Amino acid sequence: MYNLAWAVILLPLGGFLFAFLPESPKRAAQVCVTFTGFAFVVSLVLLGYRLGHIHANPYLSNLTFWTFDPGQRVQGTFISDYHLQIGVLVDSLSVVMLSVVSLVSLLVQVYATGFLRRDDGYTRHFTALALATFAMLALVASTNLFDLWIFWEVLGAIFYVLVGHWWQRPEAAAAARRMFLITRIGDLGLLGALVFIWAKLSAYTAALPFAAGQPVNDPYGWFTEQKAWPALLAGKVHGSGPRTLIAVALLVLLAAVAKSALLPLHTWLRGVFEEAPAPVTALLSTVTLTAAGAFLVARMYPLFQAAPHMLTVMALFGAATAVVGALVALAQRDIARILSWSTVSHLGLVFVALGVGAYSAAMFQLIAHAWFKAVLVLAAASLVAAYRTTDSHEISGAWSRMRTTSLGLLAGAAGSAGVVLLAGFWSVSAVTGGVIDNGGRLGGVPRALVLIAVIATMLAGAVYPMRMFFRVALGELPKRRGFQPQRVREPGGRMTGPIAILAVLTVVGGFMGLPRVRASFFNFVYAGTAPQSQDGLLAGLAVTAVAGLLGLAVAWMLHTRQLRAPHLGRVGAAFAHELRIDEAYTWAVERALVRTAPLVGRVDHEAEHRVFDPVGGGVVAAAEAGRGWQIGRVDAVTLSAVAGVAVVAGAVVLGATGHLPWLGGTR
Amino acid sequence: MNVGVNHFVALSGVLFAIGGFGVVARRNLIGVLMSAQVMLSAGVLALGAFARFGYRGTHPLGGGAFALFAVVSGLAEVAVGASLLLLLHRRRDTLQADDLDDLRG
Amino acid sequence: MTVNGIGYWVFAALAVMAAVAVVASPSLHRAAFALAGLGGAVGFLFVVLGNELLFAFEVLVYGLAVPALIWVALDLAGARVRREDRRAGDHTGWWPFALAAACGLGALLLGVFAVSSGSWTTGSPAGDESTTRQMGELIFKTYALPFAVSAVLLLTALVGAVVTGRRDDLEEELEAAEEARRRREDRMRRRREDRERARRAQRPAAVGAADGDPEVEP
Repeated sequence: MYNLAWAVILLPLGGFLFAFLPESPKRAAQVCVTFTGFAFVVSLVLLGYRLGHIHANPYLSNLTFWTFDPGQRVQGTFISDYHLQIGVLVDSLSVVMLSVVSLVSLLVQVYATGFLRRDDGYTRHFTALALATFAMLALVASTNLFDLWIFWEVLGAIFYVLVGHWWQRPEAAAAARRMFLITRIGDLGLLGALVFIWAKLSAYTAALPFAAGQPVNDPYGWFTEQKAWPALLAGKVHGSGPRTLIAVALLVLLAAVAKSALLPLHTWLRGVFEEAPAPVTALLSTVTLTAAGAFLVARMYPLFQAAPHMLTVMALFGAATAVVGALVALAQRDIARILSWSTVSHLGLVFVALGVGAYSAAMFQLIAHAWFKAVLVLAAASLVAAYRTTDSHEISGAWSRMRTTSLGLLAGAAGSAGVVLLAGFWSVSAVTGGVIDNGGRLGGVPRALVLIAVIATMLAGAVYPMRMFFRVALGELPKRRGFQPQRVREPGGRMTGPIAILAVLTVVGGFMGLPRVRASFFNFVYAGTAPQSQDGLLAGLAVTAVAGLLGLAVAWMLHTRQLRAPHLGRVGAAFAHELRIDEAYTWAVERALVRTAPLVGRVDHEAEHRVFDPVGGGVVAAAEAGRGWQIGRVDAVTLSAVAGVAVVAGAVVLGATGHLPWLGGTR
Repeated sequence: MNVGVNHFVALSGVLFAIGGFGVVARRNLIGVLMSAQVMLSAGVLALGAFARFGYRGTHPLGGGAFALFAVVSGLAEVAVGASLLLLLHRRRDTLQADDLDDLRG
Repeated sequence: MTVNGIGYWVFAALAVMAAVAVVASPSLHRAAFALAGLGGAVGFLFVVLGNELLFAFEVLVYGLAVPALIWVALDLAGARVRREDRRAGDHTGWWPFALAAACGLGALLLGVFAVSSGSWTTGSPAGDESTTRQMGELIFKTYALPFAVSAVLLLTALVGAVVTGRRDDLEEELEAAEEARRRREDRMRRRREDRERARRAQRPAAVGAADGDPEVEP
């Protein structure tokens, strides 16, 4: 039964391959959507089955292509076992993520059939989406760190293609480039972590008894690592100690920071929201790229639990990101930027939860964020397409003309703001509860800082989405010059359908976070061997409810001009310009390049002149000399073939019979 | 006087060499095809000899079966080769090896 | 184990002479004939070896079928050797190298056999029952799959030969143009002859017909 996970992973890949068969782009898109739909259905079956066996052991299934198992010392260094494989791991976390990823991908693809209707790159977009879905599903179900890294890289490459869909625009190409380069920094971190693990842990893990389902013991398997980290802490691994743990954890954290757009490596996300097609943004910012970073940390959680202080660092990063994200979003008026900073802020909350030890709350926040962020992105994209502008001050009156889209926008905004009973409410309160309760893991000062940051995030985070909604949806249609009111109408069912489904999920999806219910999320996905306590949840619920209502009230009053937004002068301007972090990076990189570029150019020129030109010239001269021999006649070719065979066979035979001692032989 | 396997193998080698000479030295491509058939005949002869004199793998006369299939393959080769040469003649109006030098470097 | 020596030497000599004729004869038709002779000689060598089925196959294929195919190809492709080459025979300029290579190849084969034949495994030779029967059992029972595959191979060769023999549109057009030209020339020649005959028939009684029959020109 668990082998259905193979079907879930491979169906989108099948969709990608089969989408090349039809001639019409419409059919190709239908192929992709169908395959993703099947993958979603199968993943639901799997989820249901797993829900029935909540506390069973995880299930591993591997397809090994090649095994290399010396497991011994060769000339002083230890060569560990290694096997090139692809596999599926079915446990609670992966089965939930499989369902969520496939559902969001399905809805996004259906939306894209309408959104990109007359686009030139229609087929390319859908095949890339299918491939991205496959990569993320395989990443979620991967059985060891190496596989995860492979799909991590594939994901980055595919999203470069997807984000740069309209690459003829220089801004879009620049945004795709920026995304790729910054996440590359994270990829290097992950690669460094892989190398470190291999070097330090190979000898130890090779001596462990085999884990179930693993053909050999390499240091990358999740369950092997689970045993290795505490042993490393206890000093049982030769040549490593707590500092190794810190180094590996820092490298993994670097990868997660870059991929999940945490401060300070967050600058690529705004470009994505501004330049990528809406379906891509929705997929990327909710369940794929940014979720991959959080997923990596979740899978490597035993490492972070063992390494001293790493959780504190992660919590601090997350808290800083969350609060800065919320404050900057407050100061924006462009819808794309508001949404991008909102994403940054919510992902920061995920990492806060991971840092304080509230693993289930973190994953819950990740999933709830998927619902409301996806509906926000898709609804906002419909609005932007209708009003032809992304400035929220220039859009108004959507409620009367685009009811369904506005409802979706409302659900998303309210969910993001943490309004009572919606998904965001439950998830953010779980995070807050985690901080209040488990924050005892952190020291005194970090704990207080994180708590303050989370509350500030909640307050600010309740204002800006609702303010955006009020401004955009209520009021009358704008009357500026050149505006065509008849363009503002509800798009077709293919675009409103996914919005409606996601809006419903935003409303009801939070109820799986109810405390003390048997099938609750917290009983299903947890770190370690038992679900965590949820003592702080009630306090979190209270705080979140108060903050949400307060923010809603403030937003309404701002909208009806009962409150005036205070002029904060230069501080406000700084936040409106996103603290100019991106510009700082650009300036630094340019300075570095200006210094080194002429030198590199000189070296290149000299090498070309001194080394490559003579070598190439020599090759060309030799080829010209050899051309004279090639008269190309059939009989000449035959003669050389027969003569060649005779010579070579003769050499082989003489060598085999020992007459040519330098050729080796049996005698 | 009695002969053994060595004689047959020697004959086969001689015929093979003669055929090899023809393949390389003949000017007309149909002549090349015929010389190739000489080489094939030599091989078939050797196979039949080995089968008769007991050099075998699992089956007695296994070499004979091999020889039979080799003959059949040779026939197919001649058929396709001849038709290809005819096609070449229609296109190029020549079958002399001197005139076919498209591979000139 | 030995076989009859006289048969071997006679047919071996015939085979070598036929092979040399195939390879060295300036006339391709004679070379094809020699190939048939080679097929016969090798076939009879199979008789000496006791394998009648192979004899039948060899004679039918190499003695009849292959030469027939070659003859047809020669007639279709024209085996006329150019006049300037006739004296040089049908050999390329570097036939000494070819001779050397061929001798080398032959020496190689013989040398390999001479050196290694001692260590080749031998089983019991074929029994006393008919070799044809044994061969039949081999082909139809043990090696039934290769037998079927060879049938498919022959079929494929047949289809391939038919397909390569087809003429494409350009060739069809050229042929049609040739045909039309030839027919037109025939027609004009016939009409000219008819006019000549008519004039010759009318000349003795030419006076009265001032305006003769108008010549009907199409």
